[in-house]
Amino acid sequence: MSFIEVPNGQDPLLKIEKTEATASEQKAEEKDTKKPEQKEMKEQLRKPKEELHQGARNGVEQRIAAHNVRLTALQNQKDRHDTDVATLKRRADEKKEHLKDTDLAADLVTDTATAMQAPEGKTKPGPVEIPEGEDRQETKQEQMLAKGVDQTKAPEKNVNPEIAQAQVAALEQADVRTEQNTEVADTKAAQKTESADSARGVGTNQAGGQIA
Amino acid sequence: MATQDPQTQIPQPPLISLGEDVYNQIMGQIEPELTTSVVKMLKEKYKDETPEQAKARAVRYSAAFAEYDKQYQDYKLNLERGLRHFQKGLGDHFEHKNRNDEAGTMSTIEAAFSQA
Repeated sequence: MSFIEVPNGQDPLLKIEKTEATASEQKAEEKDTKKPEQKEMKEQLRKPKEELHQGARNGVEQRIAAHNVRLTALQNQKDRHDTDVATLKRRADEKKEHLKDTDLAADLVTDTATAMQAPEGKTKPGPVEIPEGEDRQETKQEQMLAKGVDQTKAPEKNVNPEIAQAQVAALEQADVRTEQNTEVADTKAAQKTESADSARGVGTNQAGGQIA
Repeated sequence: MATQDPQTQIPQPPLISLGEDVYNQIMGQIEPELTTSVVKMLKEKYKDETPEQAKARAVRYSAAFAEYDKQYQDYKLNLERGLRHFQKGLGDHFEHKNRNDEAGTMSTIEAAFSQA
């Protein structure tokens, strides 16, 4: 209890009661003002924590998104690479086919070269004997010649060398056979003449003719 | 284990994980609280935390993110190096295969021409 001046004529106890009432009023006022302050303090404490957590979540999401963007770019790169690999494979297969054709061509070159070398080593065939009374039949080569191959003409240019060589060989064969047949025909004719002459008596003295 | 000629077998491409997997793989080693599964539960976990503790935690998280960025750059470089190695290995493989396939045929053709 504090010392209070009592004005003239007033009760000192009343003054004390007044003082106590004032103190309690002040306390109530203080209590009322503390509530918003506490609220504000709580809010101030909550905000940074909320910001901190939100910031952490944002940081996580940003980094995940950055990698996913990179992943998409790599996926596109891989797709382009797969296309290039497929193209390379296709070209390799095409090249294999070309090489197969070239291999076949090389075999043909070898065979042709072999065929071109062979006629030089051959010898002309010997005389062919045709039995008496048998008609001389036209050979296949002569038939071929009769059809279109001119003996006086040289083999045509720009013809497959294999075919040209076959034609030359056929011509040679035909020449040989013609010679042989001519010889046989001449021999026969000579034989006929002799037999006819001997029948007429030429070269004998039976009929009183001259002896040659 | 028998070793094979690397040029005869097709090389394997490097594994590229999704963003979340890569992030968790790296951040799990730095700051496990910042992995995708734990970061959602931080508010509940630290509801009774003092401001000083929250401040210290913020500093720790910032350092973790900085370290993550550094390690992610290294991861990216290694990944790109692996991809370039894979591309080169694939090209070498096809080149080697093509050369082998052609060798037999080419020698046959050369022999044919030399005989002719």
